[in-house]
Amino acid sequence: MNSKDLHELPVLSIESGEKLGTLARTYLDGPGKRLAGFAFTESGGFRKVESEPNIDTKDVRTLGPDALIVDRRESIHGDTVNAHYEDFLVLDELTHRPVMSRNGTSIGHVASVEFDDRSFRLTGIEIQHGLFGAHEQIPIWKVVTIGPDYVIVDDSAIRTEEAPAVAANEPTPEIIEGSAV
Amino acid sequence: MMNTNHVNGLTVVSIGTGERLGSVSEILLDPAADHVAAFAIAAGGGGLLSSSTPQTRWVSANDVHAIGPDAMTVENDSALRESPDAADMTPVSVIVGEKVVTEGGTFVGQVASAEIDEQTMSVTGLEVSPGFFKSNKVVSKTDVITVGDEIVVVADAVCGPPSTHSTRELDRADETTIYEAPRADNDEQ
Repeated sequence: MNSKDLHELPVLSIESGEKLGTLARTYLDGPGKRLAGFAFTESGGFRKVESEPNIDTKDVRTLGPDALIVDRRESIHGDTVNAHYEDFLVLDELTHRPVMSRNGTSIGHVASVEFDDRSFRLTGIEIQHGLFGAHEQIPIWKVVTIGPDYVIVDDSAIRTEEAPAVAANEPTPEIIEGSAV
Repeated sequence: MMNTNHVNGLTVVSIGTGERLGSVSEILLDPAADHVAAFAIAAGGGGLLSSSTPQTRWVSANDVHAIGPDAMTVENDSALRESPDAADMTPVSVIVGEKVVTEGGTFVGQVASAEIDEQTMSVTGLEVSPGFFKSNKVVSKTDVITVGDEIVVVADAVCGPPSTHSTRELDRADETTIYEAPRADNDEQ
């Protein structure tokens, strides 16, 4: 499943059959490379204040293309997200984050992430090369670190036209004749 | 090979945490100017909206994972040191601007930058600017004899192969040949 599919996904209770709200945020455990949980906007109404409760992934019964389904409103605890809130990355903030290889070559930026909708483990990241460049899927095993400033990937994720092209285009000074190099 | 002008200002990134640790503010060479010994890093602060001033930290050349076209990478933020490992290091910025002369006393130009091998961290050459309207040239490190506090001395070979003709004072016959010989254009008139 792609992170783009989570945008404003309805949260449904399978027991009551009611819509509890819509997904507002997705939390990512960067070091663990998995989704940690969600926050959803619980609709306000008469004598009811709008709120954004957290959902742990273990509270989720099913995550499908059209809805996130929980057993009932009471089964939503969000204990893990509440406890480690500051350690997690908000998925929206990961998008557009620069992607760098271990050898210091800029590859592009994160366009989205792919994950398994049962285990919530990341399976890959979609990278956009440049502002209007092509998109490319990088498998998660090539992702070294998902950090606050950069996503670091293995050098093998570099396309052939990247790193060498930058260095090769730089003008090289003239070498003095008779000077051994 | 990489030019020190490219390395200066390069972003330093921790592979382990994915954090930006700062940017390279100075390259320090060993006393013989043969190898890069360390990098000074302007760490933190300095942003448009940041009121804090960047602090200088140090990364030993041994702790550098790679120097790429877009960033210098280190394994983790423990590579940042509070002080450099050695005191007697020469900043590249001190060498830049020094006059370059040959052993024979011929002025070659001024040091513009240094060329380094980013794999071995050895200095492979000095980029020399001969002056305006002339292209810069790289003098191989093997031709550099001394990197002094004010002057860099290089081998005579840097200015081309030595002349094979012996020199002597002009005698009377030479002067006649050179100065008193009829000019071809005068003959035509």
